[in-house]
Amino acid sequence: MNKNCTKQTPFSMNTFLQKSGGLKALMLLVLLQILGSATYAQTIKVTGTVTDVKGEPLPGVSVKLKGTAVGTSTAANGKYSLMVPGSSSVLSFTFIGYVHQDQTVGAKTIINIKMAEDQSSLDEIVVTGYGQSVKKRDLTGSISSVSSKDIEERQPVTLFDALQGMAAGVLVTNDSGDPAGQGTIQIRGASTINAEGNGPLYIIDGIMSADAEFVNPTDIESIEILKDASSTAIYGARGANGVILITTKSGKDGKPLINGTYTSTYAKLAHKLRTTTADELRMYRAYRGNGNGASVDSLNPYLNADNDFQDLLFRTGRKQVMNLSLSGGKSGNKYYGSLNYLNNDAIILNSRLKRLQAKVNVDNKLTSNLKISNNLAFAYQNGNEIPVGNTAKQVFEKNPWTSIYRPDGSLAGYVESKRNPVAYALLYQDVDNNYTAQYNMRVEYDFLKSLKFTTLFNGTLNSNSTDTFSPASLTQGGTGDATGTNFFYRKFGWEYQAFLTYNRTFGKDHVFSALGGFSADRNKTDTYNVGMFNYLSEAINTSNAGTIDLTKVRTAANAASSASFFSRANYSFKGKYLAQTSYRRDGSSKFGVNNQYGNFFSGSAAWRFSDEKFMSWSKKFLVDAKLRYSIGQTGNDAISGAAQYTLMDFGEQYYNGYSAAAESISMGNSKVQWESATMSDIGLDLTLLKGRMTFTADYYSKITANLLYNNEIPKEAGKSKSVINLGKIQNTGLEFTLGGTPVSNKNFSWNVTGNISFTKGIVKELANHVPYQAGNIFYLYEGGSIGDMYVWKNLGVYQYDVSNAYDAQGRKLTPEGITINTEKNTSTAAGYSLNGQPYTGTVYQKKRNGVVLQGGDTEWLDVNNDGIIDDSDIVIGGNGIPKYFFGFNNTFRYKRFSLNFLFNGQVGNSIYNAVKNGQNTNSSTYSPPTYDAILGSWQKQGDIAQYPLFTRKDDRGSIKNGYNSLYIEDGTFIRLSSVRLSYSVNPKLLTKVGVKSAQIYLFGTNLATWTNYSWYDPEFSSKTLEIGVDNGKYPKMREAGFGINVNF
Amino acid sequence: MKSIYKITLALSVIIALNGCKKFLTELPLTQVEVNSYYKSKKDIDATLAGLYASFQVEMIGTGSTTKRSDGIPANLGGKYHYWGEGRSDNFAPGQYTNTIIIELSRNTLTAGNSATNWEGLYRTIARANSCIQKYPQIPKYDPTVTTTILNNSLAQAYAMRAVCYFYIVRLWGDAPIRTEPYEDLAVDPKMARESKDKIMDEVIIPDLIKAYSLINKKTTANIWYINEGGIAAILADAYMWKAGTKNSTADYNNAITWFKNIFAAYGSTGVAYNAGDNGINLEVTATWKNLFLTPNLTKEAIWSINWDNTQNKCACIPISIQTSNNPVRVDSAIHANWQKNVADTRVRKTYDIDPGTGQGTGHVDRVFKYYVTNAANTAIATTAELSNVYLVMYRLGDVFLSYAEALNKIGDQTNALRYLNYIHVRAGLPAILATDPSVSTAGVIDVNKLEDVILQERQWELFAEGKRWFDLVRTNHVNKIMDPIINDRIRRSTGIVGTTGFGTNTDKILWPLYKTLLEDNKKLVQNPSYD
Repeated sequence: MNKNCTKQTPFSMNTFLQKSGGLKALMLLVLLQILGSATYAQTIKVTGTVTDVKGEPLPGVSVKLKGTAVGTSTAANGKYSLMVPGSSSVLSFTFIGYVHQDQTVGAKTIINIKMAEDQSSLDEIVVTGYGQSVKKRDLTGSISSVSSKDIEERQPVTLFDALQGMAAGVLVTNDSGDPAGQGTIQIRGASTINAEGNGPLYIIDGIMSADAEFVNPTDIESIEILKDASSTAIYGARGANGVILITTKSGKDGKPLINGTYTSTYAKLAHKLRTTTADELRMYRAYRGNGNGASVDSLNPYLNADNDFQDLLFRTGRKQVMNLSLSGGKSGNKYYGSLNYLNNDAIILNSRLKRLQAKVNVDNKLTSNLKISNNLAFAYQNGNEIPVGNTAKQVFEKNPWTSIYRPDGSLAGYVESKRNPVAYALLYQDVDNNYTAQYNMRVEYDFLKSLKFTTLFNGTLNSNSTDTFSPASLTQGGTGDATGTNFFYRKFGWEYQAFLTYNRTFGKDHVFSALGGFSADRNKTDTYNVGMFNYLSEAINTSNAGTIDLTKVRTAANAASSASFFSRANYSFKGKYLAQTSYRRDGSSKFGVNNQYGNFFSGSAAWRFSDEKFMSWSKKFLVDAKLRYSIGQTGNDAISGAAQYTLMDFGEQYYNGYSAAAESISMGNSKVQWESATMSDIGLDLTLLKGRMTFTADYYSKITANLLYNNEIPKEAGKSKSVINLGKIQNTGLEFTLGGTPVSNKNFSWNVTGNISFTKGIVKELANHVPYQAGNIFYLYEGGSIGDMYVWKNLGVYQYDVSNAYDAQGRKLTPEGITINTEKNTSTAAGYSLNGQPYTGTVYQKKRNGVVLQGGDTEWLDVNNDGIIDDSDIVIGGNGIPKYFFGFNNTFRYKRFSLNFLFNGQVGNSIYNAVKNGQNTNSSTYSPPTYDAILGSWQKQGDIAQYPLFTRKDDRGSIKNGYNSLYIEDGTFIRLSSVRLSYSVNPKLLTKVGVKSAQIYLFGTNLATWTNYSWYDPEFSSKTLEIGVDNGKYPKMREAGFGINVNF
Repeated sequence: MKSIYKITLALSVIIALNGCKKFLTELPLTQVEVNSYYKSKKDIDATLAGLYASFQVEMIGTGSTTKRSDGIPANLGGKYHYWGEGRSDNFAPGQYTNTIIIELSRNTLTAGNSATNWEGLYRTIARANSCIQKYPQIPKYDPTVTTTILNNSLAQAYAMRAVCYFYIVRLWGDAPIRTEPYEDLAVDPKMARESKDKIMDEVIIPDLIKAYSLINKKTTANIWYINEGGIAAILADAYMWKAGTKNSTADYNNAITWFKNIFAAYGSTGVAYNAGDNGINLEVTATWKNLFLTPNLTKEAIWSINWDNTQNKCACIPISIQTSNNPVRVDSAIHANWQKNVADTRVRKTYDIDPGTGQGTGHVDRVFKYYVTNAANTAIATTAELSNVYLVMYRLGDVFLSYAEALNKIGDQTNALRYLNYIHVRAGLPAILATDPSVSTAGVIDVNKLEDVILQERQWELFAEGKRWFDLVRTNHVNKIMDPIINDRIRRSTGIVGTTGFGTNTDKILWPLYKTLLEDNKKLVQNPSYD
């Protein structure tokens, strides 16, 4: 728009000079040139209504006198009125998502406009941060946008719901079963081995935030996901894992708009698992044959019950969301307020969450060049978190014949030494009360038309408390002590920013914009914990009613601050050649005095080759084509601020009346620095067929160097670890997004977008070249891939004692002429063959734990063929990271109906089913194994079995809990993750009752999942590098609901 | 309005230019830098507590029953019993067993066994090194730290360092020597192993002699700390180890010198342990168990490890309740055989001999020695979390039997038998006569027989006191005792008969180095037979 203003100045000037003339006019002219705003003598009043093609009024459409800043916007009923200087005036109608229209006034005083929806997204505005934005066509970096329109087509409760499947290169893992669960977002692969630093940075209305949990998706105007370094480098030290910019809604000029929404959702356990029956358990006990296993009496009524605890623990969940928003504005003074209330009673008994979110955005235009915005966000959350390990997991650990009640009708804590999942769900309390309040004040002042100063201050307070309480009835035998904790968490952070933005077009073809500024922030966290036991009353969970457990009383605090300078410049020549560069200097308290500052550069360029003459032949089908290249650096500072110091730890230990002080086993490193990521990106954007089809492809390579690394120190030094910078990881990936509108006419339209992302992470270099153990089965080694799982390769179970036979090269021999001694359950062979040929050489046998393996013992791959199965025989059994993932989104519109459905999925990732493995260790006297382990276990010579002989599994190391390739499963899935059918009620019917528009809809989430994964669900969030270990998660639910949305 | 911008702008510039360095300095809020510590008497108290706590955690356990946020796993109990008795005939895998004891009990140790990790000992050594380096500067800042206080504190640090190295030498043999704190990452932290003899002669014994010279003598002992008697006891033990493993008479004599120094030291009641050379300071038969329940109130205690459940939480030793089930049980052979000697009053005080109620939770194989039990001696009175366990490092009973062993070796069988009998008789058993066939051949005391009887007495008297494995190694009895036991264990679990028991590979007497130690320090070389 600035471009237009400047370009059209001669026209305005001429008009102006005609009207007044003289010196005064000249002086005013100078002023106008400087300030870029003007006043006019108005002569003609033009009014009208702006509607869409269906005739429904469009509020908020900008109506401007072309070439000037004079203008207005349409009210809620689509009406506008504007004084124009004369009949030659041209009115310019612009609205995001609609095709721009210019209309010469001529003789008309009523001008009604029908605006068509823009099929191409080229003119969509993409926010790039620090008050700047560009049209999508002018982007030089790689940014994915999700608009409020996209969000509204689904029923998101969290940001994770809203983003899943929507953007290429963005892997959203949703923990949607758990009402308090969030999930993880990973942009362009895991680029660090640092436990905490893999999540993106959130910028909410310009403010840095580590998470966005308190943001209500319906308050969001747009989300921009900055993926490449040229986009993220402006966020410097914290941008290495991508940046998610969230802009919340603000009011629009016009009458107050009131919007109310109500949805009600019902949920069921999405995937019920087959549990072990009493019959099967009896079979297992008989096989096992010792101690308590003798109970195989099927006539005993006690042992005859056959519970499926899933039926007792899970229920129909119900979720209700109510939302009310009010917005409007007048001559630049705009307001938006919303209130959102969620009540979620989830599928596990007593699993619940209530959330209240409020948001107020008020913009005041004090003078023509001064604007002050005040934003206030508040969120309150109250819920009971269910201990998954003691509930959902216990479903499989508890014997099916046990009751969950005592004879007196009360819930039993333990029966047969196993926890009662229902009692734990109902009686164990883990109640969270979390408050977030955020206040943000922003002042914008236009020095010149092209030069704007912005300063903002933000304060955020988080105050969370968690009260846990475990009553005496949950202890073994119900005779133990009730225990509880009160935990308080308080975090206060502030951020200050000041920056200048400059925007100007020189001549006709040179568009230049620039940004320069400064910011500072500080965060401080305080925690308080009080543990209690021996309660006087179980109705009270405060310290007066309990004895304070001194070992569980702690207070702690930490703080971090940073200060930064940043700048960016953009240049465009004829919109054909585009370039951008940015520089940021970041200082952080987390690093030693000599390493506090880091510099982050980026550069990018784009070439719109479709505008070149030699491409003119393609204009018919190729609307726009652009090649992009970018390169830049970003950082990651996700370490504790204490890493630079060698410190004394206090109070962690205690000896004979004295609280202990001791040197921390973490060695301080004053030289520790940022982890730096260098990313280059080549992209292609195509807009085809009159904007009805768009295609974007990106190839990127991201090298993370100076990995922040909690490096092991030789333990003989008396220290354990030190944070250092060493090592390199490279992530490369390909991303494709294809969008289109195959059909679009008055009554019917079909819109489809799909994206697919391929990613691969390779470890290039590690500290001391020593493999890094990222947790149990996860080893990173040079040349290896992130997410590799190291296990013993399970080759099945030896069919006969004599099946354990190999030649010198380790090839397995086939026993011939087998004689079975059924009494002793042993076998002998007359001879062996190899590949059908008699074998007469030496027969080698595999040993484990010093014992020759026999029939019924697990056969493992002997990697080094030394005859001994030991630590040197672990191999890569799978990888937890998907080879590719995708989203596929469709919207159909027929008259007033709209149908949206979204598929998402991932392919080629492995999951370690640790729950099943744990179940089948048979380490407990009472717990049953999974049913297939009972039915498929080896019992006698000749059995072809998948599971080993129970009685001997420990001596022979047949289980290898946590390291057994038998439990690595394919995590590939495709999910119909969301469907929504909506109907807009005819506004003509509504106006009578004072309603402007109304929409009713039906929707469902997680309606179908196609996967071979055997446990609850293949999608769950994992710790940074321990990707894909299912150790018992809150099961996912399948939801269906209805809703209504009314506008007044 | 304009002034607002000016102020803002000015403020920005000021903050930007002047405030940054200071603004960007955030000192930790829960810790202080090492260099600003070690300045007062309370710093000595706190760091000494840290030194003992480090050892306490290694021996008894972390106290935690759940995985800590910093990744330290749930308490699997300390290593005191695994190290001192896990490979002996005292303990075997229980019903709720773990890999640690399975491997230990069958001599199938691997480098993945967490009991083979010496990290906690080196952590304790590092703390001792810091104390030794920093304590001497403290009197400069705090005049209340007198020479006596300083020397007493230093003595404990030297002695603790020696104890840790003594464990290392006995378990793994050669090891890196570190006697200074590791303070600078720029210095390569990797160190190679040095010979066990060098560690013994250049670290352990000099440290102990230094400690003995520094410690305040002839004062009432606080048996929760290493005191005069304790230092002498460790020295005597170290010389006994040298003497036994090298068959050196000179070292038996050295040991005897130090035994006598123990006898002269004062116990917790302020009297010399054995001034009259008569054994009257042994705890009497009736209150023998006080040595484990209230050692600080006995005359016999020399050094026990303190535990306070209100602060240290669960003393989850693996041979007893652990948290709820014990992974380690009393070996079935000693469990069955010892209780046949109904006159021995120690049996019922040591472990649960109850045949069980048959209800599935009667754990008949638990050690009761460290716990208050019910009157029938069939159950521990309280839960693990509310129990204090005071593991014994040294006590006069142990010293008497070692002394007897030394006297026997240097030819003084009469006095050896006398000291053996102090313990034997206290157990409620008749004195062993010199002519008893168990100790004599044709009426003449037989050195080897007497050694075996002393060893047997030590097994009973010091059951669950972390001594048995070292006794077997020191006296070269590993094969003799363990071969039949391990044979039997293998037979019962796998059905295979006629294995070689412990085996002829004496390399296996040393323990393997834990695998991650080798990954973290490339200069370490694994012990033979564990590659």
